[in-house]
Amino acid sequence: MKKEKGKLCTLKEAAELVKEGDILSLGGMTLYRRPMAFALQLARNKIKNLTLFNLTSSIESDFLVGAGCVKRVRTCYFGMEFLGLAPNFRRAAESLKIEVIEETELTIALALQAALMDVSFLPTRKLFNTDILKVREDLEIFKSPIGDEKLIAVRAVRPDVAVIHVPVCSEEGYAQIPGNLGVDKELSRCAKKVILTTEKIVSTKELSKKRVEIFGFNVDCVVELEKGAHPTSCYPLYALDLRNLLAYMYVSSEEQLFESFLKEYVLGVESHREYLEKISKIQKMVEGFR
Amino acid sequence: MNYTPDEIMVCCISREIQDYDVLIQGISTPLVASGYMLAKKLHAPNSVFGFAVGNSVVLEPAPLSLRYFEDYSLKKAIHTFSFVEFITQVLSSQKRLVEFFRPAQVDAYGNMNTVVIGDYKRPKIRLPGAAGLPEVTQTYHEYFIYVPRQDERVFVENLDFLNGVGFLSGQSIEERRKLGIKGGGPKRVVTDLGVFGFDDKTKRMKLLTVHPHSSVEEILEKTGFEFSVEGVRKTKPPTEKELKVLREEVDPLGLRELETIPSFKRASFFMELLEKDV
Repeated sequence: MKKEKGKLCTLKEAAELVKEGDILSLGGMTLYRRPMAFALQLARNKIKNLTLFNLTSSIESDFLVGAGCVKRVRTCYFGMEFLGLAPNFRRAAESLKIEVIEETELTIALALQAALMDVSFLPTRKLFNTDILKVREDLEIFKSPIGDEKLIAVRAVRPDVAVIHVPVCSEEGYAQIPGNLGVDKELSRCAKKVILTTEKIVSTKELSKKRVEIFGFNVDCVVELEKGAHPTSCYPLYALDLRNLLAYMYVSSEEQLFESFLKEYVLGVESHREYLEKISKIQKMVEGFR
Repeated sequence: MNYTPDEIMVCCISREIQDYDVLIQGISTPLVASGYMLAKKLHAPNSVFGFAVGNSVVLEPAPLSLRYFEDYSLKKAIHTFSFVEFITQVLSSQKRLVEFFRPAQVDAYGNMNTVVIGDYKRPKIRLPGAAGLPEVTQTYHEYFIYVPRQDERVFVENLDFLNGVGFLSGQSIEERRKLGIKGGGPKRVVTDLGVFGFDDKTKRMKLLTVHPHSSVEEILEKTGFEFSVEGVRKTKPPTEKELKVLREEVDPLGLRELETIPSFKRASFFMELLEKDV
């Protein structure tokens, strides 16, 4: 039997799969298991005009907005969780530098589910009585074909690229994720390209007796990347790095500060390992933030 | 007895919980998490936790921690979901689910805004977004609102954006059904100053109790709409037992304070936490 062409690649090679103007979905939830190393590499690759389509957006997306990679954001939550509002996102949205499309948990779920079911939309009525309808002209209202009910059509979304960080997977991309799945299973099954970054690669045999959440046959490439989610967590291997998250709140608190952070700490380094070493030295924290 | 505004809020949240409730936890809500766990330990031993972040169901509580949240929501999980499954199989349940929402703005009818402050097209403050509020506020039998720092910027006459459905403009149950709203609307609003309910007829907020450290005058001053104060009483202070269980078992690190402290004090709060939350 012919062996499948290897999927292992470097972070740089994987990030080159993301093209200008793509719809990009980033896996994980809020401050947990976010593909942060991948986001940093996108900035090094100088990718522009991305549309982010995320269930929740946090530091990984705030960084991309600050680095000028993003044109449009589709998400139902963009924030730094217990740390407060997302600084670059706030600045960009308030100065109208990016377009924000209001999503809800349900619209994201239905858009992905519709893509998985290969239908152009799925219906709901749960957005009536809110201002969401006023700011989402793409949400068509229609009469149910089997009654008088009025319904809202939420259009399918098939992301161009989904990037998911996992604690462990095989070379083929069979991945285990012990909970806090977000919409990662759905993304891995409907995105046009699927990239995994993983803390560790193990043999298929080692995976075989445990529950696999992502199937290798959906995965295009696999990057082995220790601390790839840092400073967010990668359960069960490491918890979120509170000190480093606080440092991020500081370096992103002003545009100027962020620019120099970007230049020195991200664009100025070659590898994720080098970045981690450098970033661990930031001890300064912002005195007041929202 | 000494206690802080966050502690009386946790107790008020806890006292709303009934045994066998399914307690839904949203993003970054240590006050609510503390209230849920306190209830579980004191009077609602059969309540169950549903984690929106974590996408899991958990039976047994563990002390709060920011860094090790996943140890609690995942290690002790009896089931984990994808978020799509969580929405369609847990949040849409016909059973009694309880959730507490923290809006940036709330009006007299309990309608909520978590999207923008100011004009939507030119926002003064861009907030995190609608999350799941549009759908779950129209689905749950009833739900709760909490406001850690009540003032007239949060309690407003007119919302800048409506994404959480309260009683709209005071519609009856029949009218709500016609609008396609299955849920029963908000039940209580717990703030750092007092507890509000909703008038059966007008569906507008009415002040039920004032916390001992506040006053009706202060609440009037810090509310941007008119509300009834008829029959208002003092909030029952936290009992010795509530405080002991809260401080020693539920939240020994004091994370509940995070939501009530002003933003300029947050950095030092986290600095102290770095020493403790290891």
